[in-house]
Amino acid sequence: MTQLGHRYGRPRLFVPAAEEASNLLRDTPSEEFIERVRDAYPTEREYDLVLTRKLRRRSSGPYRIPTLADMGARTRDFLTAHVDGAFEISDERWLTGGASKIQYGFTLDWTDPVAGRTRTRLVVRMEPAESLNATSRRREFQVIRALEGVLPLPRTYWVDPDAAWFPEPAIVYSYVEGRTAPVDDRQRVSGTGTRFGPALREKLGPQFVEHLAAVHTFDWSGQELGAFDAPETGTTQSALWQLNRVRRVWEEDRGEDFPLIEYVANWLEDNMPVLDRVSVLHGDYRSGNFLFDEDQGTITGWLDWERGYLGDRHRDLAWATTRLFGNTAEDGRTFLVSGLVPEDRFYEDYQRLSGLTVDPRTLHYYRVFNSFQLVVSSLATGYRVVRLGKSHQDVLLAFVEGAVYPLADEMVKTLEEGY
Amino acid sequence: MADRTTNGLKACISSLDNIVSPSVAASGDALAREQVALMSKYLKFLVQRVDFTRDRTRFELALYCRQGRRVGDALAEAGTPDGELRALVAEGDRLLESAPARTRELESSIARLRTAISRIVRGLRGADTELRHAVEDAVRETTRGMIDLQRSWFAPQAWEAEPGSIPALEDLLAAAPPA
Repeated sequence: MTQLGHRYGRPRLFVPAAEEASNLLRDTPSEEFIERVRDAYPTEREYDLVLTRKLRRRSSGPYRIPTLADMGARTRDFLTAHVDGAFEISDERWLTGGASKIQYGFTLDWTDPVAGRTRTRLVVRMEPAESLNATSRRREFQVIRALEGVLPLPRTYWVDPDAAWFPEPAIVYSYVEGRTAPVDDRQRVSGTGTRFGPALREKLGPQFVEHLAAVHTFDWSGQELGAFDAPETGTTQSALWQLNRVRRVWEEDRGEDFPLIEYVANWLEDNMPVLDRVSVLHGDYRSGNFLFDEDQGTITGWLDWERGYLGDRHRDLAWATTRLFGNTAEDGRTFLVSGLVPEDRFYEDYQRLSGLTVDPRTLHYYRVFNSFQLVVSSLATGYRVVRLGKSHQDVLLAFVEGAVYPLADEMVKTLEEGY
Repeated sequence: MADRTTNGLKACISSLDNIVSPSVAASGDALAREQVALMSKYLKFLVQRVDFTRDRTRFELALYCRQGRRVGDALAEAGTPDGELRALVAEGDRLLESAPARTRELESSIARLRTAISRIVRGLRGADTELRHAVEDAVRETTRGMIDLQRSWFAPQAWEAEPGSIPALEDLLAAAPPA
């Protein structure tokens, strides 16, 4: 059933999805299948680790959310090994919101090496057995820690990268006060089309652009980012690693073939841009991933750094301006990037604040790539996770299938419009 | 015998909204409250669409037969006809004309057409040929109908920035699929 060639072109790994046997192969992947996808789609080392781990654990059965009692016991064991002095935990609860991570909140009464005896609200952040985006807690910990002081962030405390203590790899960081949307906003999934209103936009919009410029111009050399691979400037390596990552996910997870995906994958491979500068990227920079104080109009913390990588800033710029994440202003015409900033002003302010250029051709490439990535994760990964019961958000992921088609529409229109 | 699927779904929704949800809210379990709301939301979407499932499947098969024909024509014009693809299109056409064809058969035909066309497109990756461009143009142009069908299907989920631009599902399905 694994096709290695086709009479029209070069041999390509293709495991058709039409056959029930293929579905079973993806449900319980063999070592042979795992090695073939690894070989066919080389990507960053840490992503290879994360995706390979995902496949090797896939046969282990549906996900069962730990009980609060179990999480409490594990947290106490973890803290015993990592904290000096007596401590107590309280106010334990599961936090809500988000499609791909599971977060356990608690309050720690302890002696902080920096602040002394204190009570700290903390969050243990993990993925379920499989999520919409398989990512690395090690990387997330490193990038947040590296960017401390550059923009508002949770404070990182510890990381359990290999699930030695917690049920899944985990980071422990501070709870950040704030909201993801105004009190009176009616929204779909967090971040999609959030309506801030003119007054809040006036305050939050500038911060939205400033923070992105700060991340992209951050000097990451000398930072502890060992879980990241830095692509070479003057090459298409960055684009190829990311394209391979998404193509690998498509191969590993999908329950159906979709000719449009093959067409777009071909186009992306043909049009990879050359990287001019390696920037730290957030990877999911949009409203819904920052918290803010509604009264003060200030961003209190940027979250969800799990997709971050070292690469092309245009990836973040295109992501932030995705149509699905924004909406139209009161005039019915002006598109607001993440519901905050008119698009033209977004690019002008970004270039002024960062000193970096925005290349229209590269931006166009990443618009297509981002839609491609979102379609693949919603259509393929969403399907596989729900089919196998691998997360605590299976109902939400089943619902998210509906997002595939506006994204596919945007992807095709972007391709046809060119740059 | 009348189909009571919609009745049953509505009963589930009512139970979730009126009995389970208040109890869960009172328990203080925020994660459970979130899940009950999601379940109710999904079922409310489903109850709006369950009666159109077969019609959608037939429409989708017609669209994939069209795509298969266009891709097949491009291959034939290049002197490399694909007999397997032609056979799959013919089978799809036959099922569409066969009133007793079960939904599962229609879905299987769609899946095989998707696979055959996808394999062709992927196999042309890296080839800078007129054939590749003809096949990809055929795929891109004929995918529009499929995207519109699905956008219409999922319209009640409110993902669209401009929902007014999406045709109503009943109207879309009542019209003949593009030839």
